[in-house]
Amino acid sequence: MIKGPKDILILILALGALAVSIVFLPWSELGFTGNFPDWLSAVTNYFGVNKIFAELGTNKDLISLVKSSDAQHNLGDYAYSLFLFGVITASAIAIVLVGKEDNAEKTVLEVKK
Amino acid sequence: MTSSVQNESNDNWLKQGYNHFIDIANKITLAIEDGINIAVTSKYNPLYYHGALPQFYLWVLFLSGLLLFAYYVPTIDNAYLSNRLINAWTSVQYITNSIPFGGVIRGIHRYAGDAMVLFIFLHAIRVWFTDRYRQYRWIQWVSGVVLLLMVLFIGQTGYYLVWDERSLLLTRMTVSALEALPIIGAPLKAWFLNGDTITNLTLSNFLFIHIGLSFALLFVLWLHYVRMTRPVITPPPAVNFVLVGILLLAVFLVPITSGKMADLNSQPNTYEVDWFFLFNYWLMSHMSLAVFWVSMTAAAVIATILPWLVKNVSPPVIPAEVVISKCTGCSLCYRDCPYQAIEMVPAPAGSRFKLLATVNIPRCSSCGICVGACAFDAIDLPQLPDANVLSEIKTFAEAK
Repeated sequence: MIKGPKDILILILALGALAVSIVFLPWSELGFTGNFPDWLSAVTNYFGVNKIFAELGTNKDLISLVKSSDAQHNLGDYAYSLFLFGVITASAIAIVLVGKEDNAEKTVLEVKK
Repeated sequence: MTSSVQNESNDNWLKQGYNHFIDIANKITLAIEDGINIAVTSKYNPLYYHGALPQFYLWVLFLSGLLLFAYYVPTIDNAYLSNRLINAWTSVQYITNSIPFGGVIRGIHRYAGDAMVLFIFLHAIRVWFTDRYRQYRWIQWVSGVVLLLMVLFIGQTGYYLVWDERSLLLTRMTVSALEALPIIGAPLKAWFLNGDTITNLTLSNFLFIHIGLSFALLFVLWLHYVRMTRPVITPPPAVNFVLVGILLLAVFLVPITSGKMADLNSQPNTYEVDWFFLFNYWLMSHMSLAVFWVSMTAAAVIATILPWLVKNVSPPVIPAEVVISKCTGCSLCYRDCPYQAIEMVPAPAGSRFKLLATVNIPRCSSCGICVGACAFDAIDLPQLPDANVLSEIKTFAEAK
């Protein structure tokens, strides 16, 4: 299945996207507030990225963008749908880039020996 | 005599006008596709999956509908359970506001429905403009019209299920429209309401229609595909990803919200029109019910019989012909034909071979694949003899 460096890169990116999506999930369930469950606070503090999350959660522009979209409750859910939109679209572009070389015509029959 | 000449001249004018329109529409369609090909290559051009995309959205609708169904309560009577009001409207509110990602799932369900209708229309326009809907494809066209009508009705029942003021108004408008029908009006109304008035049974009926008819779509889809050997029913993953992404973006930008809870003692007058599903209600409120029913029925009938309406206008498909003296019954053409238009029958008495290929004329698209498949020059397109094709290729090759 893994045939070369490209496949390893794809695997790393896929696992990365999955990990980030899962990390963002509790953030959205807590209502996009910047508060995290203890385990996530511990993880974000450990890696020093808690400031980024805190900034995202209290960013007035971002919150007003979500609120202006008429979402009344569970703002985090809607914010997460925007995040997933970004992830999924990026994945689609990645698939297109990786699959581009398969676009060539492959109807030439193999010669029997 | 003069009158028949006049009619012929009118016919020619109509024929030329229609063919000119289709020619221009076809060129515009292909030019748009070429433009998108430059941007994303033909492999990822969503317009090449115009038939597969509505089906993709059908799966999205089934999955998202499953979650909504798990929490939906089809009642209107404001029953109380432990001091909490439980009915259709409150259950939808609960799904939207209390279940994790309930609002997002509801939004996906709604926008996937809109997208499905949009792509069905694109699909229909594409096959019409590229002249791929008549003769041997009539089953696909007619079943497609039935599918579209079913999808529109299923979508409308979805709007009733929310049970806000709009749902009540739409239900009452539908009842008025059904009552206006002669003879069948009263039984249709009784069927629609599941009784004489709006009760809990009415919402049960709406839910049954919404889900039952959705599964019935699968049977009509089978009819839609039955004559196609290799239908493209799955878009590439990248296209699916982008389309799901766009759904999520729509859910974020315009979250779905309900109106006020329906109150049977009030009569709402205005509502927000969803142009994908509720355009007929808009029409209904702008014309008399008689005109509405006549125009709706006429539109459905014309759409259904379109392949035969243009029978004498568009050029006919000339089917392939088997050269009996050359056919060896090898079945190569039979295997290659994408339309199952070739049947292998026992060879006539005295033949050296066991089988003979025959063309099922109503299914033949004159595509020429069988001509390419035949190793014995035993099948021909009458309007395009092999010799002419070979000389054209030779001229082309020499010019290069």
